Amino acid sequence: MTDLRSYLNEIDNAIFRPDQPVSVVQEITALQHVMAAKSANPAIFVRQPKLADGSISDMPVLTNLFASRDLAAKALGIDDHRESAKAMANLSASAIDPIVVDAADAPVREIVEEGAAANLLSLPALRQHDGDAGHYVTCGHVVTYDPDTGIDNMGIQRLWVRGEKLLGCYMLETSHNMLNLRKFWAKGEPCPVAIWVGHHPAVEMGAQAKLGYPESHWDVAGGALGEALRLVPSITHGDKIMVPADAEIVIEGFLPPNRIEAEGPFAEFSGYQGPQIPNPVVEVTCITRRSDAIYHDCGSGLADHLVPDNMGMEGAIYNLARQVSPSLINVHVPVSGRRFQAYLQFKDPKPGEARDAMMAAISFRRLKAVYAFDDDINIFDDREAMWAIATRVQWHRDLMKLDGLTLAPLDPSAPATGRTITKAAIDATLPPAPKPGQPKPVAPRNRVSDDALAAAEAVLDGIDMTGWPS
Amino acid sequence: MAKLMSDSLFDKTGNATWAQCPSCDYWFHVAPALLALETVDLICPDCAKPFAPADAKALIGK
Repeated sequence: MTDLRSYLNEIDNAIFRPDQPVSVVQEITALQHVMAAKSANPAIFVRQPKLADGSISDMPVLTNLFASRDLAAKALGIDDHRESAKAMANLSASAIDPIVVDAADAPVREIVEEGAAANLLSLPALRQHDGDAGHYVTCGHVVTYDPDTGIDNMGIQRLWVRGEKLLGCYMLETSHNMLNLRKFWAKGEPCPVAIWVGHHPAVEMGAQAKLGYPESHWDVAGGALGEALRLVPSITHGDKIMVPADAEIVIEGFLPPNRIEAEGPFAEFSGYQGPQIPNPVVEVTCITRRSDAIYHDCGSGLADHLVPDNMGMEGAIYNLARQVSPSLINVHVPVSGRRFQAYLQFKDPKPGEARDAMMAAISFRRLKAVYAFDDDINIFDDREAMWAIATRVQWHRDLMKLDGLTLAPLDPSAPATGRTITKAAIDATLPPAPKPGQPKPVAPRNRVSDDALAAAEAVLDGIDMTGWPS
Repeated sequence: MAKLMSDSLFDKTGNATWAQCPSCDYWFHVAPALLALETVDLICPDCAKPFAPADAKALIGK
C-alpha cells in the first residue's frame, strides 16, 4: 500500500515537526511564509494544532508538503525536477486502471460519521491569512461526475467551512466540475460530490493532471503513483462516486440546485486576496476518515500551492507547444510568476519556430505571458531569465501582443469590466548561426574556463559560508 | 478631447470593489458579480453578519 504515511516515512528527514502547539489561525501559515523567505521548504507536521477556541486538536496538520519542487518531482519518480514538463506531458500515457477494494480494507473507512455525527468543525482546518472569510479546507480534491457518461472529474477547490455541515465551494465557471454541476442543476437535481483529503503526493499531483472532458482522473493518478489506485465506493453515492481507500479523510454531500451564496474573500495563488464571490455550497452528509487521520493543508499562494499545479501546467503547455515546435526542449512555470507566466526553452529553433510555439502556449487560459529562451539559459533560475530578456530582446522586434484572449478571473490586474485581456509573447532567443557549426552572430557571453571553475570549487570546498554577506 | 483623455487605455484605474459591513464597519473585497446578483447576501468576514448589498454601509468601486 502506498499512501501519505508511507511517503512521510520516506522523507522523514525533510519534515519539520515543531514540538509546541501552533495555532491554525494564521500561525501555521506564518511558519510557511517565514521558511519561504529563508528559502527553506521542508514539509511541516504540526502535532499539536491549536484551534481557534484554544483547544488542541487530536488530528495533526501536515502542510508545505509540495513546497519543494525537488521533493515534489521525486514523489512522482522524477529524479530531476527540471524534467517534470516531459514527465507530466506523458502522464496520461502511463495511466493505470484503478481497482476497487472492500470497505473493510479501506483505511479511510475506519471512522464513519453520518448524519448528525458528521461535523466539519472537528477538522483542524486553517484560517490561513488575514482577511480570509474563515477556516478553509485547502487541499480537498472535489470529485463529481458527468451524469451523461458517469465519468468522474476532480480538482482541488477552496472550501470554506461555514458550519458543521456546510461548505462554501469555489467552482470556476469553466471548470469540469462546474460543467457536471450545471448538468445536474439543469435537471433540477443536486450534484453529488465527495471530497478527499490526504494521499501520497503522486496521487494528489496525478489527480490534478490537465485532462479533457469528460476524462477520468483515477487512472492518471494511478499512473503517477506507479500502481493501481485503490478505490472504494462512497457511503452517500455508492459506486457513482468512488473515493481513494487510502486517503486520510473523505467528506461527502450534495451541491443543492441553484443555491448560490457568498464565498470568500480568500488569499489566493496570485499572492493577493480573491474577492467574495457567488458560489455553490456543499451540504455534508457524511465524513469518513482514518482513526489517526492526518489533516493535509496547502498554503495558499505559497510554493506549497503553486508547485504541483505549475508542474501540471508545464506538462500541458509542453504538449501544446511541442505540436508545432520540435525544437522545444523544456517548459518551466516559475513560482515567481504564479500561474501567469511560462518559460519555453529551445534548442536551435528554426526561424519563426519559437514564435509558433509561443502562440500555441499562450492559448493556455491562465497564462498572461510566455517567454522563449535558448538552451544556454537556465530557465529554472529567474536571474538568468531576466538577464536573457535584458540582453537579447529588442522590443520592437521581439514583443508580440495578442488582444482579446481569455483571462484568469483571479488575476488581480484584470480589467474591471470585459472578459478578455491582452497577452504577451517575448522572444529572448538569439539569432541563429549562419551555418551549422559556426558561431551565432552575437557577442559571446562572459566565461571562465572549466579548469578555473574546478579550482575555485576546490578553494571553497568545506568552507562554511553562513554569515557571509548576502 | 477631455473625454478621450479620461477614456485612455493607459490610465490605471484599478478593479477592486469594496463593501463595508453595516454591523462592524469592516471593509472587505467583493466581486462585482456578487453585487450584481442583488438577491445574494454578502457575508462579513470579520463578524460573519449576512447583509444585502443594498444594506452595505458603503460600497466602493461598484
